[in-house]
Amino acid sequence: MIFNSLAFLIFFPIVFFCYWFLPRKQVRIQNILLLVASYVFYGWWDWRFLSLIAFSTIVDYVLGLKIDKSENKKKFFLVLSIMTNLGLLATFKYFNFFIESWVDFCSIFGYEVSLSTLNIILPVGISFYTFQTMSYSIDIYRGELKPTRSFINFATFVSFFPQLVAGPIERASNLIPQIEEQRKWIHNRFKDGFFQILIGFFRKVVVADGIGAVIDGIYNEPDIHNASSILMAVVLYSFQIYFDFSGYSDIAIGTAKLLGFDFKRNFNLPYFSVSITEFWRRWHISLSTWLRDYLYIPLGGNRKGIVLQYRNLFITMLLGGLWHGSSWNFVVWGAIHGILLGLEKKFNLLPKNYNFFKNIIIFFIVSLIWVFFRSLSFHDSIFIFNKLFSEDYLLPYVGNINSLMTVLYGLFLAIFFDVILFRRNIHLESFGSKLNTLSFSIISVFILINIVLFYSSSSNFIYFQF
Amino acid sequence: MKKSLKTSIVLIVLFFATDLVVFNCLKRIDEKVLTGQGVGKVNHFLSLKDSVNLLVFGSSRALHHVNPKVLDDNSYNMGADGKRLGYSAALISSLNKNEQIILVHIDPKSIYNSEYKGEDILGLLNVTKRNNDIDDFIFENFPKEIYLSKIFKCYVYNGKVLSLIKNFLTPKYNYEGYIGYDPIIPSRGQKQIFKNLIDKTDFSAFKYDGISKLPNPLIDKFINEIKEKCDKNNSKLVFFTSPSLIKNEKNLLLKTKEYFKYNEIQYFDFSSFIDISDINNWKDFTHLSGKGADLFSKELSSRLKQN
Repeated sequence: MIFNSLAFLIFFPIVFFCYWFLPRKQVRIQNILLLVASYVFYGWWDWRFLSLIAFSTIVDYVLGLKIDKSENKKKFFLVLSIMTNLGLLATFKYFNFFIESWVDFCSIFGYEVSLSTLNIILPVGISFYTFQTMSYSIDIYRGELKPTRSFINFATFVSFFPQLVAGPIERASNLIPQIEEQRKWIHNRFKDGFFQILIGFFRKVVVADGIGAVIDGIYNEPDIHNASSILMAVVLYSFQIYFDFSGYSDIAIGTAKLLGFDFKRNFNLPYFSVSITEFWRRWHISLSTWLRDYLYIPLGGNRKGIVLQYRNLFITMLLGGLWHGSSWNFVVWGAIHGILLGLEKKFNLLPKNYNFFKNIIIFFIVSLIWVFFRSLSFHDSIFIFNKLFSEDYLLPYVGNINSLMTVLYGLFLAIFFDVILFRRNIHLESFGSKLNTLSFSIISVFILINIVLFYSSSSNFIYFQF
Repeated sequence: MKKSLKTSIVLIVLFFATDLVVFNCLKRIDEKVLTGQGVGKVNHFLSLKDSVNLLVFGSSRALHHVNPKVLDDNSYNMGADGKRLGYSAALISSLNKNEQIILVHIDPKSIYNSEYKGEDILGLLNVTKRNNDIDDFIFENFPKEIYLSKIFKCYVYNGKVLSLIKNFLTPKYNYEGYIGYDPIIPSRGQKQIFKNLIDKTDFSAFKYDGISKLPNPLIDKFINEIKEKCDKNNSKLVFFTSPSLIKNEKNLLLKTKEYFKYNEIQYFDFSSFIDISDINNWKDFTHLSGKGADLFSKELSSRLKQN
């Protein structure tokens, strides 16, 4: 099930009313309801893959308890947990990639290797829930977290539907205590959640999907378009991926709030960054902090000298890129970010205050690197760069002018709202509660009417593929 | 929780009130707009559909390829970019005049395309409040959308607002002399893009996915509904395929001809009428330029006269 579907618009109110109006508002019963709802939510896509989540849940639940209890086999159980989760990822996400890469590598040296690939579907959200369960085991191993005794609570943590398929990657230390506690209805949390859901839907179905309809044709066939069209697609894609993914996170965080849970913020206006370092502090925060805490710091972080720090940054970003998808494009995308982070540190390019021109420069750099993320192949990425630096700047291809006008209108509203958040230093997560009832209603109605009038037909969230 | 309930009630009341106000404003504008592909052209069509002798329906390949004036002085081309048979069938369901000539463009592969679900009909949602035939047609195929449009009134104007306002404020042409035909005059950039494409294209490699053995049941239903309507109005119905550089397989063409023959519907296949020898006849692989469209319209006219 996806958020921007009629199925979810019927599913969520049912869950919401059952959840809050249960005759006996016991935490256990609420959690069982959430668990069942989460499995229905995921099974709506493909019920067969529920067994994978169940398997991952059982393994990490058992190993979490073992890691905590064991005196001298802690490490063994931790490694078992990590290997299981990475094994799932390797099989379902990377197996074919490694095989194909190995075959290509051998062919460079003239060896014809014949290895068969697996005909498997990538289970939606596998990268998210495996990272979530891995952090659970690691936190217990480090002594930073006590394992939960309740299997229902742990299974709810792993499969909690707002964040199951595309994050945010919630830490057990934040979510499990909330699952174990009695939830209270808080009016301000309701306003915050509802408002964030509306903003999320606007960002996704009006802005991101609208942009997708305009630029997909250009990215799918870059060789028939001129440089102006490609430049337009490159810039618009930066907005598409931001509003798509942040929109998903907004709906996820807002939905969780309506159920009484507080998730951590996942996006903090990343395109207002004045350095790549700052960009990564603002973009997909739950992933970048995960990589920092469970990869960069264990590699040595910045504690072992400047050269090793650069190496650690590079490895972290490289693997971060690979996490996004089993393609060399993602590896290159991550590697470039890693190199730029190192260069910023080396040449001390981190400005202390906001600077509009640096902001624009960083936006364009990030936009250019997104080319590797969006292109269908490495060859296409190179072609796009060649084109961008050519002299082929004629009138851009705009397709249907009405679609473009709708996109620009939506984009204007979305950017205008982000500028307000940035200038006033307000977090979207707490915006709704800052408004009185009338303002809250008027702004919400404005957004709702705009969604009804300008939404683009539903398409999947970009981050589902990861 | 009481406070939240109160806020929710205020919000819901305000939303439905605003929805109604916005809808009525847009409806008033809509009724006055007679230009533009999004809304105005349908309004124009509804205003003259029962006074013309000949009507052309179909996708962009009808819109840009058929000059109805060449066929009949009192005619209108209701082809629309991106629209398929469902859209045409819905519009044809609203015809009342007897003894018209109805030309419907169809691509053989679209008859056998199992993926078509008829969503293009939803482009006419805004007309449902004004035309019962189209309302019934959409309700029969997409009841959910009609229910939604009854709850959220503005829903019928999804994706149309900006073009509506634009055409209300600054109409692009005088609708009184407009016959619905939009010839394409390729720009220098478009010509260049097309030339690049031609150079790198292996025409023999074109393959279609999603072609099934049997006609798409929905398309089959629409074709039969169009035929029934034309029979009822005693109108002459002709399906035709306009020129394209992307050739259909011979088997598909044969199947299509047999299909129309079986259904006792006249069908003209012009898919190979113009080739690539003069690139100036084309805008892209499936669209003729204004020059190519003139040639084609004359040929269509002569075939109509023969039959």
